[in-house]
Amino acid sequence: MSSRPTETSRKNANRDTAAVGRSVRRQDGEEKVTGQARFLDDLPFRGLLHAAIHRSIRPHARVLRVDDRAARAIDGVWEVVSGRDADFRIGGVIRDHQVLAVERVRFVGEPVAVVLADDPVTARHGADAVGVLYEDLPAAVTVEQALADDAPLLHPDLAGYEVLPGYHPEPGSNVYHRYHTDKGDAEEALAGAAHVIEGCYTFPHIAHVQLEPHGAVAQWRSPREVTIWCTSQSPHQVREVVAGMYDLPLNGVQVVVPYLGGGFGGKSDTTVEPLAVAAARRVLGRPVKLVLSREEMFAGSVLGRGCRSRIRTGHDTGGRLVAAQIELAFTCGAYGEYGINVVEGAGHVATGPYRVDNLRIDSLAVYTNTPFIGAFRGYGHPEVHWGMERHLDRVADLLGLDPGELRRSHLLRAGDTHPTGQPVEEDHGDLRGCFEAVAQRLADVDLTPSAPGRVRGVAQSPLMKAPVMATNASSAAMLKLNGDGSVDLAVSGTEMGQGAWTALAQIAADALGMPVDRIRTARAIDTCTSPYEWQTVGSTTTWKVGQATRAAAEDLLRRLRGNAALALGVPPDRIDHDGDELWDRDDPSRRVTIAGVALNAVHPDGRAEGGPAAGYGSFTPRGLTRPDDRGKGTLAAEWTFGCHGAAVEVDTGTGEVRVLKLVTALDVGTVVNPILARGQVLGAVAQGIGAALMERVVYGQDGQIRNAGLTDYKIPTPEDLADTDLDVVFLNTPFADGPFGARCIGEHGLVSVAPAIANAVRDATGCHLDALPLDAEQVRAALDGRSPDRVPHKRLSPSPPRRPAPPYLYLRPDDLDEACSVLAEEPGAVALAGGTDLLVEMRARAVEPTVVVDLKHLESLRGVRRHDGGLWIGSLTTVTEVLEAPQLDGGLACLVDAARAFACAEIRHRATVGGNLANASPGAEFCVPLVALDARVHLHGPGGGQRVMPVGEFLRGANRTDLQDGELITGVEIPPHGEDLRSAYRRRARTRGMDLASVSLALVVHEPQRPSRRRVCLSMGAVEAVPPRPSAAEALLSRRRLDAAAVAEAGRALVDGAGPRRGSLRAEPAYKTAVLPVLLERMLVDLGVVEDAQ
Amino acid sequence: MSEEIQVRINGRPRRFDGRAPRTLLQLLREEAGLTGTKEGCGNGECGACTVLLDGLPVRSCLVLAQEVDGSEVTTIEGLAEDGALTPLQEAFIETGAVQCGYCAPGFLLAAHALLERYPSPTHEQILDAYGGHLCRCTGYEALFEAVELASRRGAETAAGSG
Repeated sequence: MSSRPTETSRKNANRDTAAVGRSVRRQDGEEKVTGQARFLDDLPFRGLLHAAIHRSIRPHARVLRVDDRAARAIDGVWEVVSGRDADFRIGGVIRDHQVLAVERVRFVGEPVAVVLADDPVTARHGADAVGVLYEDLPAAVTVEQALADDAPLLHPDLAGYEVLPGYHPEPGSNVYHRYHTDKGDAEEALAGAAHVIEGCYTFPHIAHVQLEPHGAVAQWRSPREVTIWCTSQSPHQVREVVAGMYDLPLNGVQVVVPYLGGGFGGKSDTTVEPLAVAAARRVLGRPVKLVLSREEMFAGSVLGRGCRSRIRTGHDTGGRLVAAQIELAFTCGAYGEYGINVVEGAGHVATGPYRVDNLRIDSLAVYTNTPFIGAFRGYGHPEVHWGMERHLDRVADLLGLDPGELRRSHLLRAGDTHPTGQPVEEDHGDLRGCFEAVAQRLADVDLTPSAPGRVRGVAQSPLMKAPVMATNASSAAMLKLNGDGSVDLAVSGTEMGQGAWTALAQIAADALGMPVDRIRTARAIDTCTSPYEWQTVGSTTTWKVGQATRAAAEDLLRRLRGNAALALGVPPDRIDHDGDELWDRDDPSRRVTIAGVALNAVHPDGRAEGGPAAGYGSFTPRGLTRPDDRGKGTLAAEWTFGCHGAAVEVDTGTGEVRVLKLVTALDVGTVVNPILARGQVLGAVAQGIGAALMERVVYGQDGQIRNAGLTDYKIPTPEDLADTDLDVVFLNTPFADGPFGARCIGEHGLVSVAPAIANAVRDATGCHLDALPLDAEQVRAALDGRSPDRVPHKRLSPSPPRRPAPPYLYLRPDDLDEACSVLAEEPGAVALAGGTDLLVEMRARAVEPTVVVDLKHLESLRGVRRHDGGLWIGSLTTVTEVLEAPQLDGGLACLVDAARAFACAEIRHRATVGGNLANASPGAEFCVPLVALDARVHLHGPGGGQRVMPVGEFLRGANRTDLQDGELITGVEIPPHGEDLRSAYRRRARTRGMDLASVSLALVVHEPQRPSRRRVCLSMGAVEAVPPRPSAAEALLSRRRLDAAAVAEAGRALVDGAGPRRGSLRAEPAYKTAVLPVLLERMLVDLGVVEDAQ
Repeated sequence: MSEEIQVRINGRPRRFDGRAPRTLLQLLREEAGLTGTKEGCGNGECGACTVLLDGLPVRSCLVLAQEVDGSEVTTIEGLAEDGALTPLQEAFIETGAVQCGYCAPGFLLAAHALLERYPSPTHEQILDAYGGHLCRCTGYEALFEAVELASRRGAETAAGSG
């Protein structure tokens, strides 16, 4: 068995100098910290054309006509390619996917045409100018709609599609694959069970959010040869797809992958590459670039998850699990692509790491009118574990069992069988060891809440992970020894941050017995020269490519020994070596250096023999089969066990879940590189926490994604994880089939994170939350016994076609009157202060200025100063300057609170108080406290006219103010106030880091120590178009003694009258209504106005 | 208005067309040839395009090219002097703060500006500097360790030379 560690390689790996097991410095580190690492969009090309996509605005429709005349008429547009002239059908397992829609579109965002132009802006303009005539068809956006009896069929021709063997479409329905397996007799066992418990658990679509967007550059060198530079985790798959489109030999398709800015599975599907190739075909010889915008990444690449688990389990009187029926239904989107294998893989492991003797598993791939899903770190496993782990928590609760004991007593053991029928073997790892390690590390968590209104809980969830792969998913590696003894390693396993190239160099070093600093992994992958790799997916690179690398090392050493044998005139089997030299075992004084014989054996007379030493090695997972007709077979070649544990604190007032501790124990076998390994686990854990607490692709009823972009699709920020104790434990049961005993590691760190957190929330609150994510809105609703309203009702109006932005004249006046007169006289002139709103609006083409008047040099408008017992803040004062202004001491703390809550440091350095007022967002950080402070805005108009008005009157609506043409804000004046003024500003947002406020409250208390004279002022953000002053609540809090009842009454008044009506993606009105009184009560306590309202 | 943008980038004076509408990010990547500054979102939400403008970190996607006329810009390419990594860059590699590397330029410049101002920053100060920067690979822990390590080494160097 070539994959087992051989004696030679073990001997070569001298334990003192071994690279495996050490935190070897990563190979690509220096390039990445100096900005020299080149990613796709950084590559230079001559004669580049740019592509942009016209995308469907309908979820399901017939395409009657694509009209490209307007687009073609635009100066700078070269070509418009639509599906009728580029009709390619792709799909690795099921051939259901047209690269460009031809007769039908099946989701909002589906590519309909590609426009080529001289520059990206013109290409975008051209794409917007393409007209498409649709005939709408009924759409199925949710899995429920798609599985309904009268569901519209997305693919009426399903029966005619090419499908690989082993997959089972159900024509006449939207089910395009069903994995099914049985064990024992689930129905009979359920009928005889003492308890039968059912539940339904949902995992929404989430997005990968790799920081680098998808992109491709394609260039046809001749009609039979094309080169594609792309952001792919699967260059050899791209090669096959493109070769298939044009019936090219595989070596006619050169795929080059530079550095990848994150993959997480989302770059393993073929997405943008065929579009770039089809467009470039029209301009033979010219390179064509297609890079997705952040917004396009959501519908234009692939999504992940989207699973509804229906679980029915039977238990005996002691609670023992005697049977389970598990139905997984995946919202797969419009096309099969890799989603089909996510569904398959989920079915293989649907029980999680538990023994169930009577079992029925159905895993359904369901077409829906949404973007399609693909690989996403975990590949079916997080979905399965979410359902099963939540379900067991429900079981434990209903049957009065200890959740830990219930799990412990069902954990798989060696000798049990997986649902696939494969036996559990000792070298799969120590599941119990992982479970107990987590239990031990959760035991010392302090369960005392940090403050009133908080509760704590803990839970643990074990996990099992197996990669899903083609039965012939092979890897290969090549090593080349150079004349100085250095070694080049070439693989097609992509480096997307995980550190694969470093780990593989370590494996090569130990297999060769050479120092690791002599090994360099080639930086770019080129399918014409790099060895084959199936795909960089499933956490398999260290394992599979590592094994191939070891085999390549053996091959290289064989040739090297041959050269040494020729040089020394002895048979090769008498040659021994270390990291520097080779020698004759029978006469160790006869030696040559590795460098000396690297290229050949040169005799003293100059005669040369042998040849450059190089090695080729490969690895194919052994014994994999397709599932038989009962769903059984050798379906996975590697298993990893582990366990997550979570300790959480839930704020019962706001619904916020704080993860105090997140423990991960994984039996990864040999750890190749401890820092890289920990990095892999922590990165996965962070993504798991994101999925648990905040991530969700939100669809409108029309199937359009409402939060495509980072403003409203939130991922964990530094602040979200800064206080979480992230604990990682590695167990080291060696994997017999892994390089030096190493097992897979990349995905495992998130598999059971979400259920561990949700079950800890249940432990803390008693609430069972079965739909991810557990955002504050959902948790607070559950605590109140409500269901949150999760579907946005507002329709998005289609965005108007975007022309290239007109050039603007940039002016930088240093005189206020001059600035005002330009703004008054030039139509289309806009004022630029910090630019942090204006540039976002300009990018979206919501504002297209003809003149930009940069105010930053109007020095007189800057600064904070005392003013007649009050305070003056110049309009150009930046948020950073507010934060650091010494004048804003105790009393005006609400302004410091607002500044601190404001975006992030870079934006605070630019954004100004005046800009915040002029932008007039309903949740603007400064508007809310300034309204409560009775602040007045000073305006300066053309010709020197001045106006002064209360902030509350200046703000006229959402993003509307009383500013007249040519008027500028010069500053805000905060009226005189007593020395003992107290104030605060608090907000809620979806993350603890940079995010817009979901709802906010400013509290200002005049004369707080004298109840009879106390005057309380309040203002609320993100509840109305303009921050309102809730006068009833103010009256209830002013001029009277405050006890808990009075505070509660004021809280009710706060939301009764001027109650929140505006809902948004950030929060529904019910959440704002629930949270505002909590904020009020806490702020009154914090300011010492009431002792403790509890 | 000026026909030209005159700006010092990484210590060298450069001139660019003052009329074309574009952001500082576009100017750096497409005209100055400095592709180390990355675009992750174009909307100021991710931090990948962070550069130093007169010493202060800013989001270059939220700055018009014309605004930097007369200023000094430092990009990731300007951190290492004569090819020698700064202690901070070194610490980013050693601690595992770099994985895919796409967010690294932004984090590095934010951290660099922080250490210039506070050689021994508190955890809160690091958090403040990193706020609004997204990393999808590391879970952030190593990014904090990198600043702490660089800061400790800076203190040791200062003590050694004093």
